[in-house]
Amino acid sequence: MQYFEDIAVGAARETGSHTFDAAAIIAFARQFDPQPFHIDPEAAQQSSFGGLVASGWHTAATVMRLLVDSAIDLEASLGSPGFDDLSWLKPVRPGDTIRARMTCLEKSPSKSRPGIGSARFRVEVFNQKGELVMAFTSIGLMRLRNPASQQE
Amino acid sequence: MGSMTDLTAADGHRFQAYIAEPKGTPKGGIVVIQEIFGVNGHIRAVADGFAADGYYCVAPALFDRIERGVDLGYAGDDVAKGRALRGQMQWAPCMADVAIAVAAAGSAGRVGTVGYCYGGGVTWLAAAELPGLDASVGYYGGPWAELADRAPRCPAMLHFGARDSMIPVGLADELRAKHPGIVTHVYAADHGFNCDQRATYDATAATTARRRTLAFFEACL
Repeated sequence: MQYFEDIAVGAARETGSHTFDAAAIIAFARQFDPQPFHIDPEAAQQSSFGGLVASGWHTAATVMRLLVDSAIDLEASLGSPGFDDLSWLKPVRPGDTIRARMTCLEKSPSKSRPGIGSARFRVEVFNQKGELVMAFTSIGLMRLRNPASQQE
Repeated sequence: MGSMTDLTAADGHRFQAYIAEPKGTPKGGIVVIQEIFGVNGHIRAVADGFAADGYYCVAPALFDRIERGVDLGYAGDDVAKGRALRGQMQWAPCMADVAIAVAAAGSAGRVGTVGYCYGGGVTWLAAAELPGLDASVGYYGGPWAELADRAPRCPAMLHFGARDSMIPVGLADELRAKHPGIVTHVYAADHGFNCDQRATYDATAATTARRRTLAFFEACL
């Protein structure tokens, strides 16, 4: 995360990548999302997915890690009040490698809280074939490098 | 196909284990855990079967703690003898022996356990107690009700027979409610359905359960 002033609307940031394996998919899902098609490979085969798939929350958590790892500077980040429009568009299967792209849609300084700004980002997640597997719009809160500039 | 070897537990107890090796590089290790009938022809055949599917298999003779070389059949006096032996078994030394079998199987990579009847309970407890396990599969485990509160630390799959008079079928739901990450399957079959030496053998249930078990090991090991 950069300071608020460093965010350019329209600019995109690319993350590193992560490859899912079957054991990790099962390990995550047995704790957080124990539906048969996430924890039982044979049941998954009979399901509409036709095989084991990662929990969407496993994908989302992995994307968060990729975003944090790709950040230039975490000092300015103040977390997030939420996100909109989360879509799981394609299943993530064992052996799939995902990466994410985060594009700033808009930003504005806070009117009520001096020294803070918020920005909306579109986050798109692709697999190794370049197919969009997940997307969401997040809101990030961050510090201004120079709070005085907010008045201008 | 395989052969017996000697293992030594942490407390110095020496016991035997049946080892079945795959052709080529193993996909991982599987500890095959006996019923109340000892490491008999059925358990050796199960180990040989998983070895044929690419796994390095170790079947520890857990009854060696009580009596060495137990190899029982499924009729008459053998049933009574198996029950008597099982009645003398204690969990702590049993876990010590399984831990050594897991370590032996670990030479082949990641390790899962699969247990039947009494061994179904042993594999469930091993998942809760032993480090270094990556999957646990149990068939019609007699001790499951007694061990219901023990939470597995690795992925676990349990196979139930709906006609099994020893294990209430509601236990599958109860265990899943207590441990939401486990996988349970219930078959229209009786206790011992996987064992072709038993009158209760059910080829359909055995084939389906084996396919599910192999897919589980394939993913986890």
